[in-house]
Amino acid sequence: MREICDRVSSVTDIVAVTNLSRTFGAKRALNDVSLTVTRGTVLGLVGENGAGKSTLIKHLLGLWRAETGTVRVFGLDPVAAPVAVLARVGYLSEQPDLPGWMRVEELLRYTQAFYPGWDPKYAEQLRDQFDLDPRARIKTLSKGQRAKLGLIAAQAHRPDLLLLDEPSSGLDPIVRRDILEAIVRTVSQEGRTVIFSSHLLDEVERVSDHLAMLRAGSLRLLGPLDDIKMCHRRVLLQFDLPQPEPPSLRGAIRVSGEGRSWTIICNEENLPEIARAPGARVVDDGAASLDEIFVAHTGASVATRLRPVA
Amino acid sequence: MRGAPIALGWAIWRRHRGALVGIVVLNVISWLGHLSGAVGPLAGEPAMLDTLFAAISILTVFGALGYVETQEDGNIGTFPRRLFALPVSSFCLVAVPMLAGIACIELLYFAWAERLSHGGSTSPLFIGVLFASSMVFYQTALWTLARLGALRIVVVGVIAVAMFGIGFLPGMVAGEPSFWRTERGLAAIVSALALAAFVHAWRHVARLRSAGGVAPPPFAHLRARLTDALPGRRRGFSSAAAAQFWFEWQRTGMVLPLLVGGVLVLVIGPYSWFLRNDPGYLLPLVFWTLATPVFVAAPWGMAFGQSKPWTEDFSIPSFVATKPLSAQQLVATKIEVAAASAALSWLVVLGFLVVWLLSWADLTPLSRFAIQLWAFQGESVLAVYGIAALTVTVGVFLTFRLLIANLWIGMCSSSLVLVGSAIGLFAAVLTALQLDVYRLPEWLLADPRHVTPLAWGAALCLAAKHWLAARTWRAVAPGFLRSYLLAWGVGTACFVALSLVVWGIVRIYQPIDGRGAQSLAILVALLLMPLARVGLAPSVLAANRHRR
Repeated sequence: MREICDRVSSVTDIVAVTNLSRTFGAKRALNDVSLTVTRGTVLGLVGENGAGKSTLIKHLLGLWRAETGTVRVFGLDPVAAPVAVLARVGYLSEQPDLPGWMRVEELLRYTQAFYPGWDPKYAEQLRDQFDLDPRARIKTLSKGQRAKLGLIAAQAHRPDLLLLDEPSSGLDPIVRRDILEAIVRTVSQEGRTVIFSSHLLDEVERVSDHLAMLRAGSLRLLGPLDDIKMCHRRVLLQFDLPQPEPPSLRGAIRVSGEGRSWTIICNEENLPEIARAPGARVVDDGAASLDEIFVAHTGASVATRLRPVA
Repeated sequence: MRGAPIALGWAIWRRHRGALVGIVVLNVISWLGHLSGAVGPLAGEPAMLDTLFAAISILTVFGALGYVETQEDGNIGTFPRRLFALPVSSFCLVAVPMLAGIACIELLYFAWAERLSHGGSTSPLFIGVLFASSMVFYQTALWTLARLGALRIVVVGVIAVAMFGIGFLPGMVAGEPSFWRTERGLAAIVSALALAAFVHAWRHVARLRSAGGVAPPPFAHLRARLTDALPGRRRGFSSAAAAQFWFEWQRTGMVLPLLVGGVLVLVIGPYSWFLRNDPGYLLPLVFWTLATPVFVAAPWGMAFGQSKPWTEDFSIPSFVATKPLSAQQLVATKIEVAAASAALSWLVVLGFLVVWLLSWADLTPLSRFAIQLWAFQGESVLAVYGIAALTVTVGVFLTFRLLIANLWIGMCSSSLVLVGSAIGLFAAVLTALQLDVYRLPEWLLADPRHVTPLAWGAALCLAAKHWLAARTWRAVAPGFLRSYLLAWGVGTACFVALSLVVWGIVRIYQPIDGRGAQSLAILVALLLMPLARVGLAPSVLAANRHRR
């Protein structure tokens, strides 16, 4: 155990995933995913439904064994050393699996027993802030209240790594705001490492400083959020003649529009080439929003015609 | 699909086709057995194999066609609420599964009737009506009493006993019976009740669908207030192990003492009161009182072994799986809870016995039995008290053993292991029935030479058990292993001691050369306490927790 602790304290990469792949029957849930998360990083994990976000988080928790590749959390294999890893992790899922027969105060006391670093004052402060009745049974709580309680249980021991798997999915805007504020406070005041998966890109944008984008199990984008946003451009091209088909432009990630006006999402380095598109002029050029980047990399809406990415 | 009823019927078939095909296979095996002559002629007494297969088939049909599902909110076995959004009338939602159930049970009954009812006086039509009504009552109970959860099994048991009783009623009447006690009269009554049950189920589902809930039961408010008034956990836990013990105790540990207390108060208690003036019933009732924890622990142990009792999902809940506890700590907690649960159940039994025997029992038969025992044991009072204490201690260990019997299978998420264990159990029961195992004691006592192969078999099992234990212990922490081995040693010593005492008494009545039989009794006693589970359970739990 001492050796494990020594190794843990010397690790700066909180999470290191190397060539992780996973299949469920014929479906490839994760495909050769590699990423590292350093101390103090807040990584937003985005992707469509079924992109592999929850599967990746479950690998980090040790709930799935790596089929191929390796998973290290604090330098340890979460399957081989679950106690050492889980003692420093806080986890909240979309539907917190809390026992309905427990009271709120009982759940907090029960959870406290597993984590020596549990801060009862902080837990009490969050409980007050979330207005949770300590005597209430969990089965009588609303979905939002359960999410708040799950968040207290996940972060009152001030974990070194907070794993949030779509924590605000299906919640009303007020509960979402409460939960997000609690996370933001944790991040800003304590500088903890957080992996935060969500469909709500404004949430991710507000909380995260790094972004990982998954599509069909493959990692499409990974890096600092600002860098990702800076290197993606949205260009509006006006063609002299109406284009019956989406124009074929080298370096374009996504082409949408019709007739003479076409919107191109591209990388920074491809912009000059796109600007030289024959018979077209650049009408507008600006930074792409995270939403546009997400759509460009993960798929298309019904109204959009897509060009395959070279 | 042409119409909603056909679509609903197809969904039922699609979901349960495996079970229904299995039933057909059992039927075919039975017919082939008769045709080949292996099972015996059709005209004779019902073969044990036929009775067993028919019982399995009937239970399977009832199990499969209960038409209940576990809801997302964790409610077990309720009417499938996902269907409420379909553009189908509530009448149709209720009628289709009921008709499907009735059709299946009737087909099954008439498929087996010829092989099972040789020379019976009850008409097949009457039995058919009873089966159809049973299905309606069964489904109605499951759907309308969902609030009772697993306790619905008691209601279903009462329905089954009542239907059995009605089936035997016409044959029990001497002379000319009144119309209402003939098969026709009873069939009319049962059919009318089934119709009423159907209407009740229909109304219940319609109410669930429109109002989203059911009317609160009487005293629901009072019960809620009582539950809230019960003291919760106010103090912190001294350690993670203590917290996990509390969690497991609240979830599974207190169930056995409550069930045992319930059986004693609701069944044995009234019997002991009403039969207090009939001394002949005292010893059997004392026996059933002492047997209650063991008999209740046997079925409850199957659920106790699961990570989450009474659920179709065998995976470990993420609430538990993400706690920083090793698989071995989780199993150790489960074993400790089983031990505490068994001990408390026996305290309940002893408390009940003290109250009953000192308050309203006629103790004459018990005194006579104690005097006989005293005489057998060299007129030693200490020996009599010792045997009583030994019996209770063995009872505690046997209850504990039954609670953890299913531990490693319950914690395993592999359907292969689950199906394999079920097939193994089925094969063992089948073999035992085919070998007329209930005649074993008589066969053993008839000739001492019969003991030898069995003793060798038991010795081999013992060796295999110890070998497996030694192999699986490698990953178990020495501290926990020492504690468990101490408990195992005490339990095994008690089993061996009681087997020797019982053997000593048996020999008084059956004066045979008993060295071999005595050895067999000791070997069986040595086999009773589980040894390898301590190592097997954590490894299967770890495999379940960290899925491949």
